Amino acid sequence: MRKILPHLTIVLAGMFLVFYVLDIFNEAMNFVGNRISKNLLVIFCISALLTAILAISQDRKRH
Amino acid sequence: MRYDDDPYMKDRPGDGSSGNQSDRLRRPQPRGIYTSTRTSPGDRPASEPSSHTRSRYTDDSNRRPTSTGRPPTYRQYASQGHSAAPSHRAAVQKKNAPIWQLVVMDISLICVGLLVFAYFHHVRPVKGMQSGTVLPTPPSTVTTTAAPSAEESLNPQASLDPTATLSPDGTPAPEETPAPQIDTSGMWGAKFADKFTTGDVIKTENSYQSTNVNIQIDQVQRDGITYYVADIYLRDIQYFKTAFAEDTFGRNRDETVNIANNHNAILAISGDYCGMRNEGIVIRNGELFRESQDSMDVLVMYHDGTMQTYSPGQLDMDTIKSTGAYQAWDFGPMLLNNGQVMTEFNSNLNPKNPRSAIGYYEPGHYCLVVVDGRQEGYSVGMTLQEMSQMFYDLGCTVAYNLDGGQSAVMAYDGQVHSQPYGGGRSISDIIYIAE
Repeated sequence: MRKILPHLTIVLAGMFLVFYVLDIFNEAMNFVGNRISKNLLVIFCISALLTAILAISQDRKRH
Repeated sequence: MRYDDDPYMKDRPGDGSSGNQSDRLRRPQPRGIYTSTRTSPGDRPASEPSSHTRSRYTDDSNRRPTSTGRPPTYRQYASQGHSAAPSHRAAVQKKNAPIWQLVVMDISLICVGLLVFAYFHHVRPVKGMQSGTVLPTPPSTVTTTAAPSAEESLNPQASLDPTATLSPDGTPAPEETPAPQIDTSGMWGAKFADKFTTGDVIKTENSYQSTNVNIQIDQVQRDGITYYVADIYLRDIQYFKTAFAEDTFGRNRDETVNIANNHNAILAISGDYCGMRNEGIVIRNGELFRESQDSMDVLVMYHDGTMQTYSPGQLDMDTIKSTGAYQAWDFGPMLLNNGQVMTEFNSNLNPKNPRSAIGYYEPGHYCLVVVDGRQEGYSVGMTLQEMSQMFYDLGCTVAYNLDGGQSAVMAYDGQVHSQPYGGGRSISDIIYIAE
C-alpha cells in the first residue's frame, strides 16, 4: 500500500491536470465536472490523504 | 560476508543470542557490516577509517547517522522503515527501480488512465432514452394542419376580406378573374405565402421550395473563409425538427448525413452534441430529455416559433415544464445580445474554427449556418466575434453557436453539402428540416 498510494496520487493528479487544461479549451465537454471525474476526485482525495498521513507518520518515526 | 558473520543480524532481538540488551540493540561499527569484500573484520583496526566502508556508508541515504553522530541502533534503523536487515541490502536495492523508470511508469499510467477515462466518457454507450417527458403545448400555438376549406381554396381572400361581395344565398359572388390559390394554413402560411409553391416541389442543387418549406442555401467566400447560409421559411413549426442518432437520446453517434437520411431530411446540420455530456438541458420536439443546467448558454425554441437565448442561471425550468418548449439546446455561446454584436462570450473556444450555428429572424424564418475551417487555402474558420458580426449582418435577432470543429456539417438533399474538416465525425444529434 505504501508503494502504490504515492503512484496512485501522482497518476490521478496528472489526469486532473490534463482534465483542467482540456476543460479550459473545451468547456462543453465537461471534463472536470462529469460524474466519472467526480468519482475520480473522491479517489484522488482519499489517496492523497492516506499518502500524506503515511508520510507524516514515517517522518515522525524518523525523528 | 556470510550471514552468520553479520553482527547486526546476530544481535537482532529474538535471535536467541545472549548478551546485554543495550549491547544487542546498539548498532555495531560499520566495519564488518558493509565490508562484504573483506575477508575478516579484523584486517584493519576499528580506529582506522576505511574509505571503502565510509563511502558506502555515507552514500547510503537509507542509513542516516543519528543526530549525535553515532551510528543508529537497530531499533533506530528499524524505525526508519526498514524491514530488511543489512545483509539483505542488496536484495532491497535490487527492488528499487531507477527514478527514470518510475517517471516513465507513472506517465504511462496517466496515459492509460486517460484512455480508460476517454472510453467511459466518450465511447462506451450508455442506456439511452427513446422518449422523454412530453412537455405541455400551449393551446394558442397548437398547429393547424387541416387543409383549407373548399371556399378558402377557391378564394382565400373571402375569409379574410369582410367586404367581399356575397350572393343572396350566402356564397361569394363569382369573379371574372379568380385569384390564384393561396394556402394560408399553418402558423405562418399567410405570412410567408409568397415563399411557398401551390403544390409543386422546385428543387435545385442549392434550393428547395414546396408548399410548406422554402430553403435557399448560399455559399459565401470571403477573407479566406467559406461558409454556407441556409435561409429557411416554414409554413409551420412542425417542419423544424431535431433527431438523435439511432433515434435514441444517449451516446449513440452517427454521421449527420446518415441521421438526416434516416429522417428524410431536406436540410440538416449538426446539433449540440448533447449525448456527449451528462449535463445540460435537452428538449427535442417537445419532449424533455434532460433538465440539469450547466454553465453554458441555452437556446430555447418555443412552440410559437420564437427563439430566446439564456445565460447560465437565467432559465427557469419550472416555467419551461409548465408552459412547454419545443426545442432547447445547451452548447453556445449566444452570438447576439438583443440583436447586437457581442465581443465577449461565454466560451473559451474563440480561435478560428469550423462552426455551425442557428439564427432567428422571426417566427417561421430561420437560418442554419455552417462555416468550414481548418483547411488552409479553402477556409480557416471563424472566431466567435466573426460569427456574431456575420449574424448581425444577416439581420438575425437571435443567434446561437452549436457544436463546431469536425462536427460542423451541413447536409442537403441526402448529401454532405459543406466541406467538413476531416470529413466530419459522428455526432449524437442534428437539426433538420423535413416535410
